[in-house]
Amino acid sequence: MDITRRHFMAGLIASGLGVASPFGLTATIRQTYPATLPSGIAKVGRNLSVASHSSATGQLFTFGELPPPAAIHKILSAGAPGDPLLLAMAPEKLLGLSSYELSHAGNEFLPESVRQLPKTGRLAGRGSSLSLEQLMVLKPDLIIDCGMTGETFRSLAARTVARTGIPWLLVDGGLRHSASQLRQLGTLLGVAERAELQAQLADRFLQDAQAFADRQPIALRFYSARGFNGLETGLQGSLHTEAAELLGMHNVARQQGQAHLVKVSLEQLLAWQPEVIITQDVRSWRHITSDPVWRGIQAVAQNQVLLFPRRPFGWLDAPPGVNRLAGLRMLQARFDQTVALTLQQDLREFFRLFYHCTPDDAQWQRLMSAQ
Amino acid sequence: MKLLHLNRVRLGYSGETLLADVTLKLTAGKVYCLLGNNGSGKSSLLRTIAGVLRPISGDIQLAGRPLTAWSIKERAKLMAWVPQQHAGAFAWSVLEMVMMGGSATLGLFAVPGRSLRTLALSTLARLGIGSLAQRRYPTLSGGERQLVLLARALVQRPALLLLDEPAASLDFGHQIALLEKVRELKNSGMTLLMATHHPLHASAIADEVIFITPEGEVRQGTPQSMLNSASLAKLYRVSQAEIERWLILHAFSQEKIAC
Amino acid sequence: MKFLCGLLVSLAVLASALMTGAFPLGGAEVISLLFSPETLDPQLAIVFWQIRLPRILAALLIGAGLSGAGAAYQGMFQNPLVSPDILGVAAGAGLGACLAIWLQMPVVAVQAMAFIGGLLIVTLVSLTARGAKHHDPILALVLTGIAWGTLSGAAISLIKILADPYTQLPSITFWLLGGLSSITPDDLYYAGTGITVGVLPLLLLRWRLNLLSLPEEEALVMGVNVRHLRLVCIVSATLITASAVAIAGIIGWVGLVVPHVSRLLTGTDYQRLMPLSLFCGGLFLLCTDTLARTVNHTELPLGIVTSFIGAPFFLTLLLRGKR
Repeated sequence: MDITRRHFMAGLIASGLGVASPFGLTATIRQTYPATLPSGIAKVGRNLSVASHSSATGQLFTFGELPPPAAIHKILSAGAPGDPLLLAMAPEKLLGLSSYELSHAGNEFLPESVRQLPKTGRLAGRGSSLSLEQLMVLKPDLIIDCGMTGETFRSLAARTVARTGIPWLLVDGGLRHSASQLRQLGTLLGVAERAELQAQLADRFLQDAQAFADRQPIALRFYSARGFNGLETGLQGSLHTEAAELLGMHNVARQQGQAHLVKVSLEQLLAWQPEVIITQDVRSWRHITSDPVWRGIQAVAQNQVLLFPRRPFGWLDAPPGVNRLAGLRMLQARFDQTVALTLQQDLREFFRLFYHCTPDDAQWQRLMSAQ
Repeated sequence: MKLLHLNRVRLGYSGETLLADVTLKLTAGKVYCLLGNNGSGKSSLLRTIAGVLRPISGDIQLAGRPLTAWSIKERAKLMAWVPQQHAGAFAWSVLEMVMMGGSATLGLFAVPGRSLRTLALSTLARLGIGSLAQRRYPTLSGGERQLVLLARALVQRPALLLLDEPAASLDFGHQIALLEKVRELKNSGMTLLMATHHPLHASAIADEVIFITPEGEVRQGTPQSMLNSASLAKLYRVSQAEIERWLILHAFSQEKIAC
Repeated sequence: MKFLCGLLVSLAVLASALMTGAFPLGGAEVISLLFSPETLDPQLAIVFWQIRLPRILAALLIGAGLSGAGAAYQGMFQNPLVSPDILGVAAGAGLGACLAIWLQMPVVAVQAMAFIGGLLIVTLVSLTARGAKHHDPILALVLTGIAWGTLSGAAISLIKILADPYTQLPSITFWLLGGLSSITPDDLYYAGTGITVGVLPLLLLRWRLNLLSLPEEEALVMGVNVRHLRLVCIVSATLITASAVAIAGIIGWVGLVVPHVSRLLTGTDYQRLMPLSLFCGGLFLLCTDTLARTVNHTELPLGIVTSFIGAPFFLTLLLRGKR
């Protein structure tokens, strides 16, 4: 019925006023929308026609009409990987963090404004914890999603834009692209100066890592432990092990064509014999270092079970965002003397630029102890 | 010896009374026939006696002790129940079915041994269905199933046997066989309480007759006093003339052989 | 003859399970380990005694236990579609474990919570079913079991939403999918005791279980205390399943399919059905677990493998069977 009414009205007006209209028939139809249909749907109509022109700049996809940087005052983070990125770039414009509440104990080193950021929820299709209605109440100027850029996520973005009219930016979350993420977003969000400093630090960390990887005659064999008994791991190529793999290390858990989380058995580990075990999970670390059977693994016997800090975001993983740069540096420092010399300064610089804070010595000790 | 004594028992389901003020006395070694309309409560009365349906009030004495004082196992050694035959959802063999009757005699963790097996087979043979031992119970005819259930009850070697309309699906030949069997069991000292729809059967073998009248009254008496056309007419709610036209009691009772 | 066949098959399965695995530990090494352990690398002894053997024994015990429990329940509920989880024990155990994982508790706590959760749910089900006096007791049990099981399932879903998607949620998912990859000798000791204590009554009472297939009233008059027997069944099956779920997560299908397969082989008499179910269950789970750990470089969740193997196998048997 809408269609016929639309056509009727269009015909009426076109015949009557269309001749006099300077914008042509299409413009006329667009302009008649407000007269015949509720304004929300008018916006949808307009956005539908724009969404199909999504542009891809490197690993960045735009859906909907991007407002100019000066007009962006409220940003919503769609998912966990974007949280540290946006927190770094534009904390004053963030409506909140999608998956984290930094007001818990242990994060006292963060500035109060950051600690006060509310947890807004994730926008992930059926896995969303933020409903579209709530989204409309929040009314962000822009939604930014960082992570995977496959077809599913692009179509999710397009659908949300079509229904709400809020523009959506989808950024590839690969660790190696951190610098370009920062720079591209920096321009779009009007924080180019801040972003440039961050990008330079990221570049330095990443280039050092690449150099380290190139230098290694034989790759170090590592295992990334998670879960309450350390038997969960990310396969080679997964987001969870990207930092270590960037350093040229060899993930003992590999499966052709797969890159997700799996469960392994101790028998497999004893066969693989990794030289290094990295983990962010205190329970894994405790179990691995205390269980007698694990001692049969080279990494445990040689005391190379590394526990990484978890504040404010996991240093290695959880979420798979720019927070991993800290873990990357720390891991390299373990095996690279040159980097080890400047580790403390580098990490403090990272915290200053990305988390906008300068922890005092006591707070820093607690952070680094990872307990 | 008073085997079973119901004293002013009120029985029914979930608080609803079916029969009020039931008083019955069963002496050992006799055959009692229970007659009544459909839905009058014959099965419920048998269930209450068997201990499966708890009476709402009143007391039941079994061999001098209250029914509630008997453990399930002790009761099973004294009393057995032959229910109306049913299809049975599980494909047990006849022999397996009959051996189940021996559960009261076996220990908790025991499995049936040779003696139970022999007893089961001989019981089947005595009922004339020994050839059915390896057949599947659901594949039997109604009459055959009824005999299997009787065999199962007999394996319990009870002193009191409760039968719920055993002749219901039997052909005439099997009905006669059943009556012969009842007489045999009585002669061996068993007490039988049989619910039946056939006044002629009652007339043939009963030592005493029990009526459940349409008003819910339970009356006990001799066949001579109870099985006359007047009381039967009242029981089944037909006219006396119809009873006399369709039921030739007089001749039958004359042929009854005194036991 | 059949007995001999069964024995040979089980020995073959056991041998292949002992000799395959991610670690290079084959037939020759196993034999050396058993007879002259000093000649070998101590690492091999650790792999064999601490990892592989406990896992194999756990598979046998859990498979046997779950099938026994399933067989008993199928007789007790007089329903072939019943699994050991009908009273919600696996759901309750799952809830306990998920709660523990969400609250960041260590391994031992996760297992203990799972065990307690399973027992708790069945207790709740039994108590509420007893309160429903106006219904057939079996029907009351089934319905309350479904209700409480669904409630537990909903709570599990809620925890999954609240859990951190990068750290806790994968752990929860892996746990719910079931697996024997982290069985330790301690696990075997505790859960094994639980399972054995549960299986023993079912095995001893196997002939009496036949009587549960009769209408309750008939069984009562024949001298069977039906209520007690049912209670024993429930307690045993719950102990078995809760112990199994505590160390291995939720492993479905075994308790449902294996008793049926055994029934197709030997008939309904529990005298033969119970021991056969135990035997087949143990072998079945051992086979599937061996597959789950050798097919890939990494572990396949056991619950998935049991379904993929169990269902088609059952279908073929059903289509070819005479009964």
